[in-house]
Amino acid sequence: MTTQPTNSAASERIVPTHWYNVLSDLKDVEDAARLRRARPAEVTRPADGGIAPQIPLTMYRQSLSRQPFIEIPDEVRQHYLRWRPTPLKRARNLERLLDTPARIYFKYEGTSPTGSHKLNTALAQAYYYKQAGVEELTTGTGAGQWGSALSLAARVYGLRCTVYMVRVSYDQKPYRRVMMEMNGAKVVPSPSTGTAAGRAALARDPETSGSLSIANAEAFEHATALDRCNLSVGSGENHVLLHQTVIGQEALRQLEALDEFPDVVIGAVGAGSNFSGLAFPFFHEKIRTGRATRFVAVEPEAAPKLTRGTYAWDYNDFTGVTPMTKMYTLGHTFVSPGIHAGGLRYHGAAPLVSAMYEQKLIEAVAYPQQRVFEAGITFAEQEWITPAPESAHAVRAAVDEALRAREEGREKVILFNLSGHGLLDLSAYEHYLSGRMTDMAATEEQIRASLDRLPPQDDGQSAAARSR
Amino acid sequence: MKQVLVVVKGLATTPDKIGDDQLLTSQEIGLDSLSLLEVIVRLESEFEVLIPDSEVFHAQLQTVEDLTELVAQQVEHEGMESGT
Repeated sequence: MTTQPTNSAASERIVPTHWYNVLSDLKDVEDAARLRRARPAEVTRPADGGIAPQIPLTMYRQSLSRQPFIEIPDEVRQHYLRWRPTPLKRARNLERLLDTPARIYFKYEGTSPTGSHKLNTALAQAYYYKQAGVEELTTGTGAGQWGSALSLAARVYGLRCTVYMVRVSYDQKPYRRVMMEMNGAKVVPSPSTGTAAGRAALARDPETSGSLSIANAEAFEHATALDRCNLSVGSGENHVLLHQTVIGQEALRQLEALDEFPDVVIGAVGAGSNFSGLAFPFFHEKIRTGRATRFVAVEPEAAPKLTRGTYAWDYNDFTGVTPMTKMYTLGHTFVSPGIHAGGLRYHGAAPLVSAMYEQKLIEAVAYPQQRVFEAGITFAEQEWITPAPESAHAVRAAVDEALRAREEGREKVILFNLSGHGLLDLSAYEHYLSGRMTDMAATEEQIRASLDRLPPQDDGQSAAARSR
Repeated sequence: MKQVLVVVKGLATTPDKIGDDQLLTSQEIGLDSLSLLEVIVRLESEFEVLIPDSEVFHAQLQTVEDLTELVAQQVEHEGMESGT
């Protein structure tokens, strides 16, 4: 397939030729660089005894690599050039409104064909799966941004695509489903009655709004049942975070051209791919140059994995059939209240983000959804861009940083990731404007109950017991 | 090859006690889709080859011999390509 980039040569040079690998700059992160297999009793083996990898070797090698930079296949980069580099903008009107000495910049990933950063890894993964001979990709999607991106990437590479979409988002964001279907994908609301994982979740709670871990479990089961069909995930895995570093590398070059460097870098965290995509290349610069930049991960109070979770081995899916990873987690059976930022309802943070949080290399903050939407609307009024509810979390944190700068009376350069637009999320804004929106923080009881169901840890103790 | 299996999987046996026709998913070896990746990457490093995704992904490896053949074919292929 040929592509015809339309950018100028100068603009194209901003788009990196390599992904940046943060593992090369981290110490004592062995747990983040390995996956731990499911316990033997829980492994579903094919009847004929045959065995095949779940992900392409190339992506697995990327996940473990300590090389600082990994080449982007030219074919993938050519696809990137259809919309990259994405704009780096200064929010001057917002600055004026806040009367702050801070300079606020944002990297706008909403100009991607599917409206968010997710396409950066979707295209790379579809490329590698196609090379491996896969014919269908399946996945779970929260808000639908990942499903939209994967369905387009699958279409580009001639792959079939089945998306299990979390029920609450399926109902709240019908046009996301339409976008996936336009790309030829089959979209199934999750939990569904078509898989054992879905039926188990429905048996536990017939009224459940679903969760990404349930959707992932259904997609995993779907992939296991079919030949040449594989599960592709859009957040959390090391290779996913790697692919997203095009965002930060571009932003670094765009800020360099303005002779700026951020004092604080901010991104919303579901599992961590948009945060990492922006933050990691700046972390590399921080290490290289000794600057004092801070990195702030923003999460919803409804799924506060970093601020209220525990650092433990846990599964990535509801039924515990995917490999365990070491992560900040609320427990794989945690079902977040049905907030509008569906992409942030996931129970755990990426292993790399978790390791960096554990080592205090990054910070985290949690917000209730009404304050997030208040900031989203202010941003839309001032900058004329409607943020996705997920991205509005980063806006909220950026606004608060700018207000702090005003109180302290000092200049500060703030950079945040506006990871997607909210034009397919207007029902969420309508809900806020109508005054019907409520804040739905996770309760202590909810978190304790799901942490009690964590798998046994290395020392044989339950993680919940250790965290108390 | 069997030594790599023993090391990566932490098996309580010795390489000479692993049969060529033994199933990779057997109780004694216990490979799954994830540890298969670990073993292959270790074998690649050991034999200085890179096995293409297309070769391994849907090979449906069943026995120790299947795995040995996969690596041997790649060693031979890369040897021919480099003219050695």
